[in-house]
Amino acid sequence: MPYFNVPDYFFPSPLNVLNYSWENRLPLISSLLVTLKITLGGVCTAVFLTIMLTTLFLYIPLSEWVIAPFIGVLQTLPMIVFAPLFLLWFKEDRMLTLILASGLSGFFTLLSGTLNGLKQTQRSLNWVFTFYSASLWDQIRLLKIPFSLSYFFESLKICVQLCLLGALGGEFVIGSDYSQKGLAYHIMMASYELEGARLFSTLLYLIILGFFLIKVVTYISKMILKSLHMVYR
Amino acid sequence: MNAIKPILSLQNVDKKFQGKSIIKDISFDLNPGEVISILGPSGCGKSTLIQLLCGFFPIDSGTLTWNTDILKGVVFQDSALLPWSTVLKNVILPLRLQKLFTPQERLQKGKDILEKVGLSGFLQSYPHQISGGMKMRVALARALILEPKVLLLDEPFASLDELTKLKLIEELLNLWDKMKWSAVMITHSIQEALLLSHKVIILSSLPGQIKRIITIDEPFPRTLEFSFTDKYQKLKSEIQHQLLRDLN
Repeated sequence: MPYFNVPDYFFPSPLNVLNYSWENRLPLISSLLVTLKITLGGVCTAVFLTIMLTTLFLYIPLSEWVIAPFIGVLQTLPMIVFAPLFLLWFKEDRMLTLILASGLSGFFTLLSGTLNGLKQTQRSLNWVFTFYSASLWDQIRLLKIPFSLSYFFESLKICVQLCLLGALGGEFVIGSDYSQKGLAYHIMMASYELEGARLFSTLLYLIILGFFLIKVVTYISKMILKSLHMVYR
Repeated sequence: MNAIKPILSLQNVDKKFQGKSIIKDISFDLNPGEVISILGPSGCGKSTLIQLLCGFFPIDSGTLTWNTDILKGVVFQDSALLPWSTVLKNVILPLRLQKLFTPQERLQKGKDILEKVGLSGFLQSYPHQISGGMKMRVALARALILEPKVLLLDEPFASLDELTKLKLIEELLNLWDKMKWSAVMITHSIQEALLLSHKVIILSSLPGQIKRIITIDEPFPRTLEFSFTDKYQKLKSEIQHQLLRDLN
């Protein structure tokens, strides 16, 4: 029943949205899990790439000088536009393509935050390590990694959100995996079929997913930083 | 008669950064057991000098010679402790970095040196849990753990209050009496220079050049009572006069 004569496809009533969310909870939760899977895959990809590139930059400082300008340019581009290209590379494996699109969406933020952390190392502590002829490995593991961890986790919180957006955007651009449909599929279908309640229900599930992911990352980062005495109790 | 071979010798040392001369024509010798203080106005290149002695940058001209591979220790102005490591782990860091001794031996050595600086009750504390004076004592213990022949001190008391500073000076003098290291100390304070050194080198403002070397002909290690003597006042006025003349 439309309120104030506003049709449901134009702006659904909250009650209808809640009803739809409950009645269709099984397909929506199933899609939420698919989006979660893509996002987590994306986050893992972003973390892996960040660790690889950061290690390269630490061991071969010249490589940062060469690669950094390209990263600066790529950072300004929405990575999901490359999703159709990735689909060709991965021979129509949509899940892998979506994970890569999601990962690349969050990767640059994570990388620049981590690199920023590495450069914030206290100068006098660097001097202590240099003075006592510390090996590069000791400098990395005993000084640089602990110093950059808090920056890494701060960036990871943003990275997770960007990966979630990347997972949705990727599905918009290349379509869903045939057997595993993410939340973007419901948004698209709701738009095609003018189902306002379905659209808002999907958004509700999306908000829950985003909130859950941020809370999990915040909790993990707090636990790790506290156990390493990097936040003062 | 055998001449004493200096531990460190600087001859006409120059250093420029981006074409700007920071220190110029610095020459002095550091003899075994001798403590030299470097005094001068802010920005005169004192810290650059200690960084050159630490080997962080090469010199542009002149010679800087250490007598063989002598063991050195360093203390920086901000204590430079790892915030995520305990006091004990901070102190044994040089042994860990240089892969000396077994982990058990390192811990024992750390405990021994912390006892010497009066921090045996704070082995498992973290830097944020101890006071500024204690942090500086941890930094000093870290510098001493390798039993160095030379200490390089970059304004070690700059961030401390007057009382803590005096207490630490007294402790440093007691430790010198036991360990007899040589030291080069950068400082802003005439009091620290007069209490803690055999010689005071006064630098001019940028580029830092040696204006005067004052030898303090007083028994060493001194006590804080020295600061109440006429001789102390006379030396203080002399140094102040020299610094003010440069300022004007």
